[in-house]
Amino acid sequence: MGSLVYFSSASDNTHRFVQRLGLEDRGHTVHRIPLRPKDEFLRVDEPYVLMVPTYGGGNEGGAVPRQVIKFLNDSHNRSLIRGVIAAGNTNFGEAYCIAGDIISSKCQVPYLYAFELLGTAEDVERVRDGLGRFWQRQSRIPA
Amino acid sequence: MLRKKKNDMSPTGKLKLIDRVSAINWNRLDDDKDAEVWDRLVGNFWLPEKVPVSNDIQSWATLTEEEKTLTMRVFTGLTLLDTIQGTVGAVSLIPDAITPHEEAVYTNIAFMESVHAKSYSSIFSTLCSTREIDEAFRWSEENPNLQRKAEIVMEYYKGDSPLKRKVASTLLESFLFYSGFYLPMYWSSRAKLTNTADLIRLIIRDEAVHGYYIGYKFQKGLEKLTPEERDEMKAYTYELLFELYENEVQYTADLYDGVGLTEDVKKFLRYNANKALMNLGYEALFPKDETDVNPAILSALSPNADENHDFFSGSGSSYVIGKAVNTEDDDWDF
Repeated sequence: MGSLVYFSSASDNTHRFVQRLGLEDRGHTVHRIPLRPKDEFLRVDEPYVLMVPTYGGGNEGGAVPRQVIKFLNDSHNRSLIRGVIAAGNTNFGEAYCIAGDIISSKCQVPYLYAFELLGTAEDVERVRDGLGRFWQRQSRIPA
Repeated sequence: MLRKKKNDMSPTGKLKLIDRVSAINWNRLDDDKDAEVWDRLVGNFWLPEKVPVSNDIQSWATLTEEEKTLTMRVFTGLTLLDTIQGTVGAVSLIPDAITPHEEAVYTNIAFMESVHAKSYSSIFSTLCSTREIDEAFRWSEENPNLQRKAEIVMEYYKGDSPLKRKVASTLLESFLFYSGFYLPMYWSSRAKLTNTADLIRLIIRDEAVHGYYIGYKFQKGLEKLTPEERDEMKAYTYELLFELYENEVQYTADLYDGVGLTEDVKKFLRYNANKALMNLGYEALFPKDETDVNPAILSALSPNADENHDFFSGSGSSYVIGKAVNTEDDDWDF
């Protein structure tokens, strides 16, 4: 069974999206990347899909939260990523959900889905069903 | 931080804001979000002088008189909202702030709203005659639906509920601007006034951070309420949204009926109303089939938005990897 790793800032926007997915009730493991540097480092041991918010793009870069960069800089963690889902806001124009493009291209994994802010009911349904099918296919790939 | 006593009036009758003052210490943060948003806002700082709006003079000349009038009216309406938000709205949030850093973020927001308000004037002075500008401003002062929109929001800014003020402010930042923002996106999608659209996109980007932050502070405030009070606040938010939406629909008709775009604008309104609610932590209200924004408008807003990032709906045989992007995240070390 696949797992989900996600990051959510203190706004808890992405956290609430993950809660609405109800993945744990379906037997999936869910891990949250810690918010603060002093929190214990998250190390994962099974393949996962990563879900991240995009930080309000603009002049400064920094679209991928630094906690996520720290998590992916660990080569063991990075070796287990299978796909990425990003949240964002179309108000950021070209930078809309760009954290997904950056991670997908750096880690060479498919960009599975993008949604805005808290996500709509349709987004929740599509990601829930899509992840189920994605993990089913992944489980048939020999290790 | 400014400490304000309730109903504390000085002998001259003016509101006395300061009881005592302590210096702001950015090395001791109560809420990391304050520094994060401050950095984001500062990083996104811009001024209208940097955008070559004068390159739109030829394009402006291709618009019909009706289209020019519409465009000027839209921009005076946006100027009015930015003026309110800069001099009243964002400022009214300062005395409610929980942390000194939150106050500092509001001063940044207030200043940027004044930059936005001034930007429209720089567009006007580049493209239009003084007579045309004066007429458009007169229209905005006389349009009952625009004035009503301003009145509704101002009422809450002057009211005594810090949380309701944040709701009104978030709805302004994330919803009320969009009947206006539609038009420059429409022109841009038709390769008209593209530099003006670039300037408006900078404003749209700022409003997203403002709406996100004020909405976030609203949710922090909600945590301190009882479940009953929270329910009441939620009901209030949806009621206010409906009231503003009804008014917005009429305002949209006043502006866009002549060019036949009203229905298209209304989809954009509902799409943004949903996003405003989400900024406040509430679920979207309008269903998908009422918020299917014209793809040309969505693409003018965000060129990536129409690249449907939906790997799940594919057959499963395709294996799409994100296109190469120039990242500026120099702290990636793999």
